[in-house]
Parts: sequence; structure tokens; C-alpha cells
Amino acid sequence: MIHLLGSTDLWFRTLQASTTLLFVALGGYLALRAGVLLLGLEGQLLLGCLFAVVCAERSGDVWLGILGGVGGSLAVGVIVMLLVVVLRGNDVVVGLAVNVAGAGVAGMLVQGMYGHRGGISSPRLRPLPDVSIPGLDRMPWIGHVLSGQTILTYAGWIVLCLSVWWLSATVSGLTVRVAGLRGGRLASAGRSVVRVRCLTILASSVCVGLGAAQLALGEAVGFQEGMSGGRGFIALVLVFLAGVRPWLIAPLTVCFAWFEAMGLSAQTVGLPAELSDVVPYVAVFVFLLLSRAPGRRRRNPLSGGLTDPVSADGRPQVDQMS
Amino acid sequence: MRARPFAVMAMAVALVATAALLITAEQGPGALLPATRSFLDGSMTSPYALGVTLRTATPILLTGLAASLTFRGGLFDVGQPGYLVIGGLTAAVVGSAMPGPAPLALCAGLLAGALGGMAWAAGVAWTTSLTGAAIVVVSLISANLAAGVAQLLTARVFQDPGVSGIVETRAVPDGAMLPLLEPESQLRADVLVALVVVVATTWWGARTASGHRLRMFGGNPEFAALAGTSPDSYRRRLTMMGGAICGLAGGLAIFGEYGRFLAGTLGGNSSPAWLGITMAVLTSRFLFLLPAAFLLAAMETGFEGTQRDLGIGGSLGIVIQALLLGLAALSRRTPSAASE
Repeated sequence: MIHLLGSTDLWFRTLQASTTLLFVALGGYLALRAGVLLLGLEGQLLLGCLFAVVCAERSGDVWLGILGGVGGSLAVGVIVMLLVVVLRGNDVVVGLAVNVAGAGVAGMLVQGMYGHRGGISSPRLRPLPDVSIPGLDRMPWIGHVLSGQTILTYAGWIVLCLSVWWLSATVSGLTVRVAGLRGGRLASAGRSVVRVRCLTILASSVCVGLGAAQLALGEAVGFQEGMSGGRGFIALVLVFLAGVRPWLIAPLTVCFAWFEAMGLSAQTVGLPAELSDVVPYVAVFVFLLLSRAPGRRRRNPLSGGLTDPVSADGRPQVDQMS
Repeated sequence: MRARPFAVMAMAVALVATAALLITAEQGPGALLPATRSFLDGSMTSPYALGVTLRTATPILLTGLAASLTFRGGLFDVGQPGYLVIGGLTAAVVGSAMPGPAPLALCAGLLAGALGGMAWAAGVAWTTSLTGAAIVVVSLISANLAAGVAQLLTARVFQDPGVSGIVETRAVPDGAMLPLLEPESQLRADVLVALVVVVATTWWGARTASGHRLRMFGGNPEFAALAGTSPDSYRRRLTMMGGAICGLAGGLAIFGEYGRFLAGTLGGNSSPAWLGITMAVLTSRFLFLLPAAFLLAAMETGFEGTQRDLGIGGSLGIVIQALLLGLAALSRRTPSAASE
């Protein structure tokens, strides 16, 4: 067990797995700050994986596969955008619809395109190439963990840092935050809340698509039914846990990716294999309970005040005027 | 309210048109008539088909009732798939392990199912209360956790030792299954129990003070707090009530159809509870759930029929359901995450 905990393999896989969670959580976070709750991340991720694999398989080029993943995710994102932002539909119901329908539509498309149910795997599918960082790869332990990841892993961390900076330090980032807090104020400043939210959802979808590409082409090379494996839901919880501190997404995703990697390695230390489906969700609950100490939360039933965009009850405070 | 019949008709027309379009796209317009026939054959024209449809409708109906109950109280609890799964597992385990006469196993099993669902819902309710997180997220996660836990427990603790290759619990005694109502359709009393529960709940909601308090609470929790009901405690009890109903539904599925808990059924992405939630989103009247559940179940069994006979339509049900949910999202009365 100790040997397992210190193994570079475990930590390598942790970092590898954290990429998808990072991208998906970032996508969900951006949308939530703008005032849209993307409950359909799970379905969006699954469809992104499917499109990534199909594009990579049909073209033989893994980079087109990445584009395919982004494209598939964008397609879902556009539908969500139209239903929730433009037509003012209910974001939760749309999210549920995307999740439920995502699995069904994926199955339908696989059946239609390949004539069989289940998964897609093919020798034509090239995995994402590993990138070896010169100098780093020769370092004894950390080198094995950090070097040799896919390009999306490094890109993910860079994008996260840029996004954190952008949200807090730029005018456009501020616009997005205000859209989530007080949409009405934005309107009186002459900007369109609808436009901001639409653009944010599109950006979120790109992030989710990149996460899908990493999952489908970097981790598991191919598509399988249900391969999103609850990552969309876990990412949502990470988003809520991060609250107004987007940088928290980084340590949180590493933490959960570690649970995921540990769950998969559980078999090697004699624990039941089914634990890998249970441990991440249990960890989520534990995190939720630990992060909100019972005394801190004081719910005044008469107060309608807004404190931050992701308030104590976890809901985006959508202004009436938006 | 005047617009409602028109809206329902418009939705029905849209759905039928979509189905027809998809069938035509796949096998040409000549397939429409045979498709309709096999749809009806699969869902209602024979007693056996009708029995299958009614059996399919039962968990949809009860989970929809549970969801509708919580929605009316202003809670967007979507953990019904989880409560259903845990209830089913508990019912099967208790029912198969209960010593004594078979009817005792039946009663104990159903009760255990309801309690199991209630216990899981209590977990969701308390987590929501303690952390202040949105119940929609907590319940969704709990539904996923429930499926995983059920799989784990069935495979490692409650596996039937006499069976290999399939992950399932021991069977409940034969005499413990709910009585057959009509032998040709294989219809058991689980449908009847579900019907009674729905009617009783409708009466409760319309005719009792506590039923009215539910609606009042859903409309304005702050006012209810001023009137003396602690919102948190009420919400917890409401969630647990919904969990109990779903747990009972799980028990009914075991004692009415399966006879044992099979890992992977009842929960997951294909859980009947998702259809129940869809229904609850579309209508807030408990009685409307009855025809709605039947129609949703008929869609499932009907498309299974067309899949068997013509090779099309297996996934049509999913697409139609997605459309239904999409349309529901645009309906005015859905509880919004932002307006709870």
C-alpha cells in the first residue's frame, strides 16, 4: 500500500486524469460565474468524447480528433445556450435533458455510424502523443510524473491560470462576473447580458471539448458507453466548492483525480473493484461536508441579500432583470 | 390555464411528427404503417403487452409522484433514481432473508424498501441542510453514488451464491411475490398499490391541511417560516417522504416483477426515475401523472416492439424524451434553480 502511494505511476495517472476534470470544471465555473448553471456537463462531455473519437478515426489524425471533440461539445453548448439564455428556459431541466439524452444520442450515433452498439476502438485511432519536457524528464521522481503527459495536460494548467487572471483582472472578466451577480446592472451599463452569457457558454463548451479530447484520445483511446463516468457531476461539485476562488479548481481536481486513480488501483491491493465507482462520490460528499462548517452557515429566511455569485446555497443569483 | 390543452396537443403533435420523421428517414414512408402497428402491438393491443406496459409504468409513476411532491414544496430534488435503487436492494435483501411465512417476507420487504429509500433521502436532506449546497447537485451526486454502492454491495455482500456470472441478490420466496391479478397479462398487484398511493396522495394534497401547507410552503418558504414551520426541517421531511415513496417503488419492482435485485437495473442512466422526473416537471397535478406514466411506458414498450419487428426505433424513445424535457424546460412552471 505504501509502495502504491509513492509510485510515480499513480501520480502520473493522477495528473493525467486531472486534466479532463480541470477542463470540465473550468467550463462549468465560467458559465456559473456568468449566471448559467450547466448541469448537463456529463452529457456534453460524453458527446464530446464521441465526436473526438469519430473525427480521429475517420480522418486518422488525432489533432482533427481534438477539433471534433471541441466541435461536438460546442454543438451541445449551442443548444443549451439557445434554450437557457435566449429562450429563458429552465437551466436545470435543460441540464437533465442533456445528460439523459446524451447517453441515448451517443448510442444512437454509434449504432448508426458503425452498425453496432457499445464502443468504438480501431487501430486507426492514434492516441494523443506524449510530450517529453527536456531536462525535466531526467529528474528522478518528479520527472516521471510531470514529463510525458499529453499536450492538453500542460495546456489545461496554462488555460486555468490565464482564466483565473482574466476573471479577476480584466474588464471582460469583470463583465462576466457582473452578469452572474446582477444582470440588470449590466443592462444599464449598456451591455447585453444575453450576449455575455452566450459567449461564456461557448467558451465553456470549448473547455469541455478539450477535456473530452483528453479523455477519449489521451486516457482511453476509443469510445465506450458511459465513459464520462460521472466526471461531469464531480466537476460541478468542484465548481461549487471553488466558489469565488477559481484557483481552488487546481488542487481540487488533483485531489479528485487522485481518488479516481486510487480507485482504479484498488484491485492491486486487494480491495474490491467496484470501489472505483464509489470512492470518488464518497469523497465528494466528504468534501462537501468538510468545506462548510456547520456554524458558518446562518440562513436568515427573511434576507434576500446577495453576497457572491455562488452563494451559500450554491445557486447562481440570477437577477430578475436578466 | 386556458392555454394548457392547446399546449399539450401541440406537444403531442410535435412528438408524433418527430417519430414519424425519424422512421421515414430510416426506412422510408412505407414503414410508417407497419411501425404504428408494431408500436401498438408492443405496448397495448394484447393483454400481455398491456401488462408489460403497466408494469413498466409503475416505477415511473411512483418516482414521478415523489418528484412531483418535492417540486410542489419548492425543492428540486432529483435523487429519485438513487432512492429507487437503494429501496429495491433493501427490499430484496430483507425479503429474501426474512424467516417465517412468505406474506411476512413480502410486508417486511416492502417496508424495508420504503425505509431504505427514506434513509438514503435523509442522507441527501441532511447533507443539503448542513452544507447549504443546492439540493439539485447533492441529489444528483447521491443518485450516482447509490448506483455504485448498490453494485458494490450486491457483488460483494449480497450476491446469490447459487448464481455465477450475474450480479444479483438471492431471490425472495416464491410465495412472497405480489399476487397475480390477471394471469394472461402477468399483471400483479404492484400496479394496484401504485394506483392507491397516487390517489391517496392526491386526496391528501387537495383535502388536508398538511397537503395545503405543502403548496403554501412551495410558494413562499419565508412566509411559512414566519408562520412557524422551520423551512429546513420541513424540507428534510419532504425529501425523506419522497425517498420513502421511491423506496416503495423499488420494493414493488422486486416483489412485482423481478423477485430479486439485479445490479444495474432500477438505477443508472436508464432508470425509470428519469422518466418520472420528466413527468413531474411537465405537470404539477398528481392525477395527470397516471395517464402520463402510462404514455411514457407505452412509448418504451411500443418502441421496443418496433425494434423487434422492424429494427428501428430503439433510441427513438430517448430522443422523444429529450424533446419532452427540452419542451418542459421552456414551460413556465418549472422550479428554477435560481428561484427556490
